[in-house]
Amino acid sequence: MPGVEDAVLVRRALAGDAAAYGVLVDEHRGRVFSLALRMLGDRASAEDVASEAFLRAWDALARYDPARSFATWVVTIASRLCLDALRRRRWLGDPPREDRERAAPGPGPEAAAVASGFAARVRDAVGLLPERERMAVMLRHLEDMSYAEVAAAMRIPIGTAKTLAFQGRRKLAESLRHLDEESEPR
Amino acid sequence: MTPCEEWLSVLDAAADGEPLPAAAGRHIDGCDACRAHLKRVTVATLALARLPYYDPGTGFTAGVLASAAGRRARPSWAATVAVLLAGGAGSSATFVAAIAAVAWLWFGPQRVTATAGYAAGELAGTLLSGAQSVLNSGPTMIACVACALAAACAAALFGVRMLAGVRRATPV
Repeated sequence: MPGVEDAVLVRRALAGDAAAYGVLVDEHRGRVFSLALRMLGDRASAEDVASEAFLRAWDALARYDPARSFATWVVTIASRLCLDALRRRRWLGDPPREDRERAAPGPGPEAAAVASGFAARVRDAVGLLPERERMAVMLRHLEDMSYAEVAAAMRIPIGTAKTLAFQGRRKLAESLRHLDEESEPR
Repeated sequence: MTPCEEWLSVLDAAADGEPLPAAAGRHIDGCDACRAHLKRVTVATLALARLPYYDPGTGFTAGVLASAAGRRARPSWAATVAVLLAGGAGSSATFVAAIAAVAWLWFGPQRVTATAGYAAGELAGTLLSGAQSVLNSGPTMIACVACALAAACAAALFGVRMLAGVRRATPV
């Protein structure tokens, strides 16, 4: 069970074993970085937010409840940092990035598979969702968080989290339908 | 084909893993639009769950550990405000003490004491008369001054929090 292993690693990290925390970072960095990349749209900002999320988690490790999933905990921190970063961008008048995660996949067979076909369509359609809907659908379906956890991560009521996820999925389904219609033989 | 508005939320919940009520099942049996919607949203949901994770690249973990090693625990925003206020008060006190020391040496103790007493009395008098005139000018002025003071405090707090980067992102 990864949750139990995470709790053991957290205990070791709290006892001063930095390598144990390194294992935790290695295990969860993909999900945290991907969330940040899909929300912020560029690698540099995503890396900043992802590393800050792990540093905040490190600072607050003593407050981590081992009964909860470490992945959910660190993704919650990253979600809030992403929302803070997006809010700051709006205040500063920084235009939203349009190259959302297009430059993200590194070399490798997985990246090549993602860059083509249905997965690429889904990826692009997710990138076109409004920010809050995008975050709600990713936390709910990619991270498999409950609506209560999504609501806590986004600091919104559970009903709002549900509505955002439903709206996001409908828009996503709509985008995919248009693509299907375009690709149908005439 | 547009799905029926009254069934949308039930279909969305079903695509999310909730059981489909019998009435909704009967409806979609006879409604192509709703059946197609349920299928599309279910496909979208499954596709979302299969989105890949991207790797931040080599050196990410090492960078986090290096930063963590050199990082002290971040203080709470209240502690940061307290430190900034204490620092400000300390700097002001040092500045005033330096001025007083120079004046003491330059003008002598009697004149400095008299001037300081006079200045303190003037300042207190000005503050008291200002407060009195606000109180005498009615509830509107009192409300305006209270709002201005609250706004100034909120702006100062907000500025300190932004500068110190002490937004609370860590769930308790």
